[in-house]
Amino acid sequence: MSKQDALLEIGCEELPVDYIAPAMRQLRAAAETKLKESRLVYDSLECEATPRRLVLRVRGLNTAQPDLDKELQGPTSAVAYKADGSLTPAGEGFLRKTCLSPDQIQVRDGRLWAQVRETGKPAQDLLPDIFLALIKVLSFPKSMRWEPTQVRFARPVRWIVALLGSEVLPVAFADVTSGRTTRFHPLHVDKQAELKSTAEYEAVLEQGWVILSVAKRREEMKKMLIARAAECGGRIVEDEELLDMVCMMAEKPGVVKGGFKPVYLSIAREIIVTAMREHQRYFAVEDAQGKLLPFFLAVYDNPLANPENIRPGCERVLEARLKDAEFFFREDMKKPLATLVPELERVLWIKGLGSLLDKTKRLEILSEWLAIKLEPASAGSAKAAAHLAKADLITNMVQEKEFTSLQGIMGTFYATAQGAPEAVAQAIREQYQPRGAGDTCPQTPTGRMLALADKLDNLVGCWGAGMIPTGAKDPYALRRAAQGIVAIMLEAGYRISIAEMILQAVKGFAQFKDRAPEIVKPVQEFILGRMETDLANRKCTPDEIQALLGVWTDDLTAVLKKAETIRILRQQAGFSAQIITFSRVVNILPKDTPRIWPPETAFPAVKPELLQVAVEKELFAGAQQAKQDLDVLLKAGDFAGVFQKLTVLLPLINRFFEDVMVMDKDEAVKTNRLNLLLYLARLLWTLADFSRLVITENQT
Amino acid sequence: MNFQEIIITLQTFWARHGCLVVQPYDLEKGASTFNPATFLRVLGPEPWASANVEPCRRPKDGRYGENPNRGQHYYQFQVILKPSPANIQELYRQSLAEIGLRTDQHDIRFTEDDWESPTLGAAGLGWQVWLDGLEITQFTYFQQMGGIELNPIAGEITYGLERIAMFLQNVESLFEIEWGHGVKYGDLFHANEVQWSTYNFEASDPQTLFDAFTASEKETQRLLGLNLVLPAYDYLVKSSHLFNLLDARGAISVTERVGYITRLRNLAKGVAQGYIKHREELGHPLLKE
Repeated sequence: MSKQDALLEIGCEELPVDYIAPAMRQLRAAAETKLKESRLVYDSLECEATPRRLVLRVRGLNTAQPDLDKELQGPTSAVAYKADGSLTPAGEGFLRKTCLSPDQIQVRDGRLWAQVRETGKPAQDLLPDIFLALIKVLSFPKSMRWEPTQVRFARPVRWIVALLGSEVLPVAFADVTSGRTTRFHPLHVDKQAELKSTAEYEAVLEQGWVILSVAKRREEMKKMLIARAAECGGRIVEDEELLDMVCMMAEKPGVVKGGFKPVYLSIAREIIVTAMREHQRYFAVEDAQGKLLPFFLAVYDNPLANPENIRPGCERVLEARLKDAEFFFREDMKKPLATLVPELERVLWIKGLGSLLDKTKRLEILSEWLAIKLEPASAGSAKAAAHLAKADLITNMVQEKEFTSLQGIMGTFYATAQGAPEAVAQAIREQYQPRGAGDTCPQTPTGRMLALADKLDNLVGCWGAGMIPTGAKDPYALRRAAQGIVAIMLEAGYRISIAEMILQAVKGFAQFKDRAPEIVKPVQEFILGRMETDLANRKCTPDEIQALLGVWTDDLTAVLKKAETIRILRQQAGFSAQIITFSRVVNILPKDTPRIWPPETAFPAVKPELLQVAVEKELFAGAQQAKQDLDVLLKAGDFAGVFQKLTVLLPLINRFFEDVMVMDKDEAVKTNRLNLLLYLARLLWTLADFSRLVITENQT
Repeated sequence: MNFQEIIITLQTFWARHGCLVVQPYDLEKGASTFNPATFLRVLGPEPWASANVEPCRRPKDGRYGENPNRGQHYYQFQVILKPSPANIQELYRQSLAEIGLRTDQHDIRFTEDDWESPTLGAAGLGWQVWLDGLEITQFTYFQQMGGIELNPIAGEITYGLERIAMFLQNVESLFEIEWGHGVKYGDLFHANEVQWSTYNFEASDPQTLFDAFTASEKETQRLLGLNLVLPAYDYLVKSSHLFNLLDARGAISVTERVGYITRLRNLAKGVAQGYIKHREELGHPLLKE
């Protein structure tokens, strides 16, 4: 089978930077699916992009589908043949359809069948529809219309190149028809070029001042950034995300270095770096000790220009921004955070959930409550930090669009400058941590209290107001909040009932007074859902997670410790045999027996007078003793000890199943024995539902 | 190139490319989108191409003439091309060269910007155009106006004239821009900035403004009821400016703000629907066969 390369270039006006990488991923995934559906075989797929083009290259594409052998079903013999054995019109019709001779037709089970080979269609005939489908399938956060057909795309599509080898594939989208003409960098004098074949595509673009490969652009850009930073006597402040971004901002990138007045270095580093990054997409430069230098590096897209012509404009813009920042900073310093707190009353937090002042008051109570439970020494500072926590949201700086990402950071900065105790000041910054999976948790006790309180308040407030995350929609980042609670609790090893914490958070909202249970339970389940993800990230196996979360769980740190215990136990010889015995206890119980039992619910009443066999009496006595011992061990978090205590019962359990008939004819005796087993199961479930664990060979 | 030459050159350029050089509209407004040549003409099926300079007022942006980059009154140059031609970006680049900007020696970048005007029920997608990192133009493909989905789509190019002039003349303050014949922008308008900032932030009488807002809102509705859509539009523009004055004065709380914007948007929707009907009744005279 001969092979060729195929190329699709969707030429656009400048695409939004954030849209490009996701579009490349979509394009690749959709291409894989569509080519597979069309039974087209290829060696490899590549996606590339610049701000003005999305590109798919299919390497080593077989020029046709493989032939397909099929069996066609015909009419029944009775319908296909006349009495004399000749074909009826229906039989002839089937023969024509198959293009076979009468002797090639098979008769099986009273019906005609034909083995036919469908010749594979040429890729050239299939690709136009596939390419069109690929263009149409791309979805963007926002899309637009721009021409009469009213189709939508991220920005106007102005040209399409679609080639198989040297042949143009006809694709029509919007008011554009595909061809072999690609476009150059807009400043190139030739504007465009005809491609003889796919092979010369990248080289032709290179001549036209377009670096097609994202990786290559990134590499070159990084080299230039490092070189320019060295000229400034420093290094770039590493920012991979920014590098990804600027990579999608130029087809032929250049880097210009510029400076700003050293006097601005007296502004906080974060402010300067944010002023450069958020709007202008400039890189900051620091010296070997990590001290900021009064320079910046800007990426531009003009291969003709002398960077010295571009520099003054960039400097002027940054100067204006730093000047604004300095102005905001000076203005903000005139009004201490504490004096801003009452003004939070006029700022709505979330519709239906009151003002930021209301939130502040709730956080003060909740942070202090949490601290009394978890970090008693920090109760005072937790309350004080909560009082100031939201004040920076109405400072000039944070209200400015480009500096909103400094929320919390500015709070800490201003609080420190205004003489707040360090614990209080640090907590303001830490309240938003972790800002996502992988981000660090608050490192101070006070910060942890405030961060937990803020996240609990977000969860409870939104849940109470019916703003529950669904699918991809999570406008108030509640998943992140729940994940943050899990991360903080586990990192600090706090042992507290999450239901109790949630209930305390609910109490902060007067309007939820009568609805506590209907809020606590789903929020608790939501947090446990994040716990599940956390356990999976810690390489817990699915059966371990089921075993751990399939029983009553209200103490996240305990769950983690149990997981660690089970992992160690699983390595030990004899574990599987122990689990098999324990599982017998559970498996004999009625199928619908609930496994989630809050500790305060009473244990089943076993009537000693109905226990008839010696071993069951012994077992009950053992179980009662274990229950007492377990209470202590569970509180202490000694889960290996808990398991050890349970294994003491194993010989008795084994003998019980040998000597005792659980399903006794006497209903009362049977019920009593089942109650004894449930009693035992309740003890097992204080650790995990072992019956969910998958027993593998090497463990037995 | 001085300020007036920039305006004249842009007018000539766009006239050459098929635009009607219409004139600024004689009402206070925050942006040239409020000029009927934009707001009304982008509605409905009739083609339209216009260019005009536009004095704009944003009371909140006043800085008493102390900020070199900001004023409560400034000038836009507005181009509307409906339908938007396929070479609209290229035309724009040419226009920059026409006013003496060395596009080969500077970084002209189209940076994503989703434009939205909640008060007008208007939205569009496009870019801010950056010149060496400085925003000099808002470039938008209108998708919706007065809450109505547009078809055909109009391209809107809004040049920030002061910024472009500062760049071309290499001056650090907008008040240093040469308007023409050696007269500076500051000579003409600095006193305006001081007095209007004082008025906008300190001296305006909120009650008078509230009363005026309510009156012109009512008038818009009354005129819409009489099918006098063009006068109704003027009262909508007046209402919008009165809202901006109240907002600058700090007379509208954050919560109330949303309510005011909704009221204005409802007026804008009423006008847009009325205008579409009005053009239909006229038989779309600008529609070429």
